[in-house]
Amino acid sequence: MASRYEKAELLAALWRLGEGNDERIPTSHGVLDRVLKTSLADLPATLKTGLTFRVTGVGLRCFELPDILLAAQEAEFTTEPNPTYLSSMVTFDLDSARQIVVSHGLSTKEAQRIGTLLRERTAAARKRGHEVPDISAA
Amino acid sequence: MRDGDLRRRLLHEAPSLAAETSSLMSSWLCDLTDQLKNGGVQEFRPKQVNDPVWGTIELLPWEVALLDTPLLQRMRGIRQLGLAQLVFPGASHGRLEHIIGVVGAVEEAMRALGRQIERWNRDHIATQQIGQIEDSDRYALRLAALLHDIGHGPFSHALEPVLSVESPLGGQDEKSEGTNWRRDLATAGNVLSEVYTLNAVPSVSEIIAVFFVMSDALASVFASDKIIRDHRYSAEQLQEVIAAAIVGALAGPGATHLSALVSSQVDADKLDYLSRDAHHAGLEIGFDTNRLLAKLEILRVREDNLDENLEDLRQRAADSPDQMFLQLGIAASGFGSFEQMLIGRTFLYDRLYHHHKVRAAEAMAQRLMLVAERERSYRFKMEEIFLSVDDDTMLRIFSGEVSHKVLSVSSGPASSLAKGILNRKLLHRAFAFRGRFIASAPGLSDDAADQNRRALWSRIVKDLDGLPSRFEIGREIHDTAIECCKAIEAAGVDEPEMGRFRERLEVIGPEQIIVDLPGKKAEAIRVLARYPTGAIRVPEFSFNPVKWSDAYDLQKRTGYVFCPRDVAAIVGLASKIVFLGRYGVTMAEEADGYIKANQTPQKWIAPLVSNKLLDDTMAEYVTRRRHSLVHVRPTDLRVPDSWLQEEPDFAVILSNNIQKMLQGGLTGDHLKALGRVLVVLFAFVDEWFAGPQVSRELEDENALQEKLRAAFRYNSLKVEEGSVLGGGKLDLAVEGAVLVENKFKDTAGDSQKAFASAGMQGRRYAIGLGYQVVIVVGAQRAKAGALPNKPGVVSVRPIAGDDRNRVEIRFLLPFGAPVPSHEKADTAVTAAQSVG
Repeated sequence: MASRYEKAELLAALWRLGEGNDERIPTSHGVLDRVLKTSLADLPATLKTGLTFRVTGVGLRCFELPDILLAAQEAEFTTEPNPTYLSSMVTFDLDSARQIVVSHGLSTKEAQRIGTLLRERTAAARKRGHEVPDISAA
Repeated sequence: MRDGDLRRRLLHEAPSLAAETSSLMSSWLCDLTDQLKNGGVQEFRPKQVNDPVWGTIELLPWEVALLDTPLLQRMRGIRQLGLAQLVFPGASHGRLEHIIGVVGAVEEAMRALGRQIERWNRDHIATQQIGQIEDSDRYALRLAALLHDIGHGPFSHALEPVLSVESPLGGQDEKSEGTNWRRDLATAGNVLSEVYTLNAVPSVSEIIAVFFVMSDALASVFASDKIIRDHRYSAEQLQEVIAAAIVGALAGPGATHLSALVSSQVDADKLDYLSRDAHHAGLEIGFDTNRLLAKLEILRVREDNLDENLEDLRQRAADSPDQMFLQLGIAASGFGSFEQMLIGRTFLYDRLYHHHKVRAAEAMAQRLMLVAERERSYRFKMEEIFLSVDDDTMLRIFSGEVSHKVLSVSSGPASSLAKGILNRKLLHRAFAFRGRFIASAPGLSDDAADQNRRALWSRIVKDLDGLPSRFEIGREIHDTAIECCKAIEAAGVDEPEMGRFRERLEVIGPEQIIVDLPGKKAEAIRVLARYPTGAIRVPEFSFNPVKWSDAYDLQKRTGYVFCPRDVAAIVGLASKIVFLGRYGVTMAEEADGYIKANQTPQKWIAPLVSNKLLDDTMAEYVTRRRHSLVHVRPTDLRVPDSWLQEEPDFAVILSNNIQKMLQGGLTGDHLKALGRVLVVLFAFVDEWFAGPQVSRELEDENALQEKLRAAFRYNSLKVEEGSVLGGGKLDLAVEGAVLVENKFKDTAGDSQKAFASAGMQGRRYAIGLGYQVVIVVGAQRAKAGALPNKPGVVSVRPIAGDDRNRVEIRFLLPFGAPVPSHEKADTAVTAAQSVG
């Protein structure tokens, strides 16, 4: 099975190659967990093998995703999720992203399709959500 | 599931683990169980103990009965913070102190929840009431707190690799009995994950603790009227309630809404150890424990009070009895204290758990156990790991100072490491590495330099993601250091010092060269909050403190190569060589501030070059210039658009294959030179295919070289001919960076086997950065049938021999292709010529 770093680099590269307005990859709130679950049929085996989805005490979560997102941050595939810590930017340029997806056996074209799908579904998931008021001092 | 089903399933599916844990529990509890059997059980009384965190903690009689057995007394000698006391002398508290503290914390939390329930019930109508915590639940949770850490062995987390099925250093028989219970750990984890459907797979120490709890010995204690007087829960039920609390189960056998008090994101375990560890280490880190406790709530989670986004939880609520479930959470107004807890923990990691000396000591403890196990050629049994001795005695057993009838070890390297810990002769930092420290490659734009730095860093973290590769790199550093000593000594430079280094390195072996990069357990917010409006949601506002904590930790995370202090200078140099050779990186001067070694004397370098351990460029990079190599990217190869139209990912595949062979990458100058050479060769291929050469005869190797030479010169590239560098008369050295060999084969056949790989005789350095790329341009008589497309003539392969950081790019050009109408006759001629 692929390591968490391999999964992380592939996820980040797919995201980078996808087309869509919002470039920030969600790291919080279970948004990406839900998107990955609904996109399982389209994900390459390297990424989806070994992912476990459960309805936990805070809703649907992919148990391996925190590890994968942390690996992405450790290896600098993504930026630290400043300033809100709710999402981060993929640091790959297009060439780097292509090198990664191709090394995992995907063509650039297929990776673009999957990346676009992930971005579209993320946008839809974000739209379903709503702004949370800042009442941390309440 | 019926009562006891979980226990039966675990025992059935993980029999070796069950047998090992049962045997240990029987021996630990034998005095107590014998007394119960014989009717001579003493009367246990409650005890009040003073505690620096919680004040007075009352222990109930049955808790005292268990406390005064080897099961829990062995935890007295296991230090809560492993070897941190070598750096923070006050931090020598035992795990037993923490365990009792968790009992106190659970009690405080239940009192706080009792008050919250009272408030809630006062303000809500009868149909929305929350039941008060029953005594039976209270007793069960206190027992769970008492037993939650019994799955820990010596040296806390340093032990974890010893429990894995594959021994990280290898050398063991994987079919031995020591492997069966280790395999069962994974099986049991999966069973628990299947049974507790809302939870992730528990940690190894939690799994072991669950098996201890499920033992017959403990069941007989729980069943006895003489010890536990409240029997609302049967012994089997109590075992399940405790097991569920240890894994923090949200649903499943034994799980209640209170199970999370023992194990969850805001649990009694954390509430205790954060305050206790900071207190004993003498670190002033404040935790607002009282407010956090006051803000704990039992939430009544319904479909209509859940955030709309939490569809799955809404469904769970709708499917629950009374369309509602109870769950431990916090009031939104307690989120500040929650953040404070998470952030305080981050500081503790930075200042205490990940202190470089603590890391060195932990790495030594881990290494000594793995080495001792490897050297005796069979895995530790469970009874050897869970020996009822304290950490120091364990070290003395490994050091050979004392012997133990159960644990048999005899390993020189392990003994040396154990003595090092006992005498606080800890390993030192010889080399420091971080993503941010990676020096730039010259001539790149800021963006390109950043991309390059990240690409190089990702190779390091990926490679270091496991103990076997870390050990392997340590061995490479060790061997390189010895080679350096020999070369410098042979040159008559600092002979006595080099002799000492070499002898010492031979004595300590690779076992004391430890490459360490601390890991961090990934976290996410796993608690629900109730807002003043009554709405329940995941408490993430404009800021996620867990992610902040990750960012803080990763920004400060530094990897080290540790070694004994007296060889740090030569190991530091060897580390630089190995990191440059293996990953293409040098660390900027900023990294020097993190080690205690002086700069490498320049006089050591010349002998390494003259002995061909390094070439001149490499020598410059590890000393003065501090440049990293450049990761090869598709655009560097300057593939013509017409080729990419034919095969869009051709440049990407080519760059990946080249980079794979090179490992580190190329120097910036050589990468640019490669681009210039490839431009000419792609054009050469274009011309070859466009002109008549494909079907025309080619005389011999000389004729091919003549064409190549002309092409390079026509494009104003600098060409040296007949270079001895390649060990072949017909090599061309182009742009002082790329060797071009040409080959000729007058027979058709398998193009993959047309020519042997290029050799590097005469130009080989142990680690060198000169002429890393050899381009072989071969001409082979074309087979009858389809010709390859242009991208199809290019392949990448390793250089003959075990030569890292070098690559062969092969262009295989067809000639003499039969014209379709003459194919049959031409083939016959070729075959005849071949036979002749």
